[in-house]
Amino acid sequence: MQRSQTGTDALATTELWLIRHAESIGNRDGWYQGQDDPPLTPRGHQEARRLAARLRGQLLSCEEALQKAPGVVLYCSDLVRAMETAQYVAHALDLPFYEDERLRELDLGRWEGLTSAEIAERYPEEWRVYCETFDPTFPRGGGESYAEAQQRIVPAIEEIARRHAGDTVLLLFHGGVMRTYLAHVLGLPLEHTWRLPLRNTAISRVRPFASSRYNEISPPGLVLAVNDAAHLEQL
Amino acid sequence: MSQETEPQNTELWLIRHGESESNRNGEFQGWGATPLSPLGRAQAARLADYLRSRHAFDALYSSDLVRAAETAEYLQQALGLPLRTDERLRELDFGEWSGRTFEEIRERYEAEWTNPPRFDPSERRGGGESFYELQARVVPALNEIALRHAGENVLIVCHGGPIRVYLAHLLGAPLSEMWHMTIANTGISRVRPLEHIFSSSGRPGKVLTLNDVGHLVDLEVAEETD
Repeated sequence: MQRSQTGTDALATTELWLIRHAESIGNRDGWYQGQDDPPLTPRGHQEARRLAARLRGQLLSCEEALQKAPGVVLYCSDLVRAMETAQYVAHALDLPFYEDERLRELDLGRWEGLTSAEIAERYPEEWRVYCETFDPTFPRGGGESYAEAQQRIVPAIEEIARRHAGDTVLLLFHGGVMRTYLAHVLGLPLEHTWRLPLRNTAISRVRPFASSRYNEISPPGLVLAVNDAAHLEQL
Repeated sequence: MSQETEPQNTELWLIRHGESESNRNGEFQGWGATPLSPLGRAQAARLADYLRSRHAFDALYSSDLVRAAETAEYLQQALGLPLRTDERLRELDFGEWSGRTFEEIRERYEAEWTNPPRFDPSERRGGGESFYELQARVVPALNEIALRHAGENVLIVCHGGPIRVYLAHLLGAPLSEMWHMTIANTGISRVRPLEHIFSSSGRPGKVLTLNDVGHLVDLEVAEETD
């Protein structure tokens, strides 16, 4: 399915579909997951099926209608909740998927596996500082800060995108790191990333190497849509 | 009180007008009175069907410019809501640039045009309004509408400029970065602007979706101009 074009024009048309994994046990039970590795819930499996059906309809019908559809490739984080979701998509689109550990969620260290109430009780000082400041350089639970996660995720995503110039690249991964990437493209300070909530299986689309003609000087990147979860209506 | 009626859950659904004749011709519009193109009418009809099947709405507002008001009329008919127009929701005033194409402006107003273009939100393009001035006009107007409809879901049909400056306001993003957001014809951006006022957590507003165009699948999504 890969029909890569060459040159800078192809780079500018490269489109990333950033997809958050379906509901996991940690999501359902309200604990911080980070790089902890719980599987999907029954609802999560339903969401992943809806997502896969939607992508099949959208990507395959476009291809037939337009006769010029770019190739489609699928990458996912190597955490179970992302891979389980990716399996539904891979099956529906008849694609292989590539695991990439750089797409993992933020490492939350000793906070992993705990609810916010438990963190507040066990690590009151850490919890207070974080809640009062939302400091993006603060390593929650002694793990990774938002700033560090952004430094990991942006080059990883751009490297994958360059490898598939002109294609539609589906990236199945995690909300925290996805927000830091969106903040990078939107020029949004990291303190504000939580203003962009991302639902399980929601799709956000970005052209990482395209520019608006009104502003050809600033770094490239166009956000086409954020948090589109139309496929979850009435679930 | 149910979840939906909590004031902090007030939702504005910000919708850009359907494709206008000027969009089709690649012209800057500003306050120009250009009607919808045939594609713009098809987009508005799709939008109306989509909204009717998806959600219940309590109020409908529109900019008083023709391309927005025509789009809003489709929603008025489909949803049976009264339509209120508000001139504060107009597009940026592009002054003398209105009605001219990107290429014409590049030639005629070379002094005002940096090459390659660099966006300065304090610049009054064509002698009209700056994007800072637009934000100072639009943010109070939309906040006032949200407060008037606290706890409700409100449809707002307006323009790419007002939607971008309001989203930048809610996100805490500088206006210099606003062109990284794409706002397509009839694209829907859904926001909760009042969380910071009513929520006990003291957290500011949220952007729930940006530029949802699910209703346009298999219909042409035109590239945006202004």
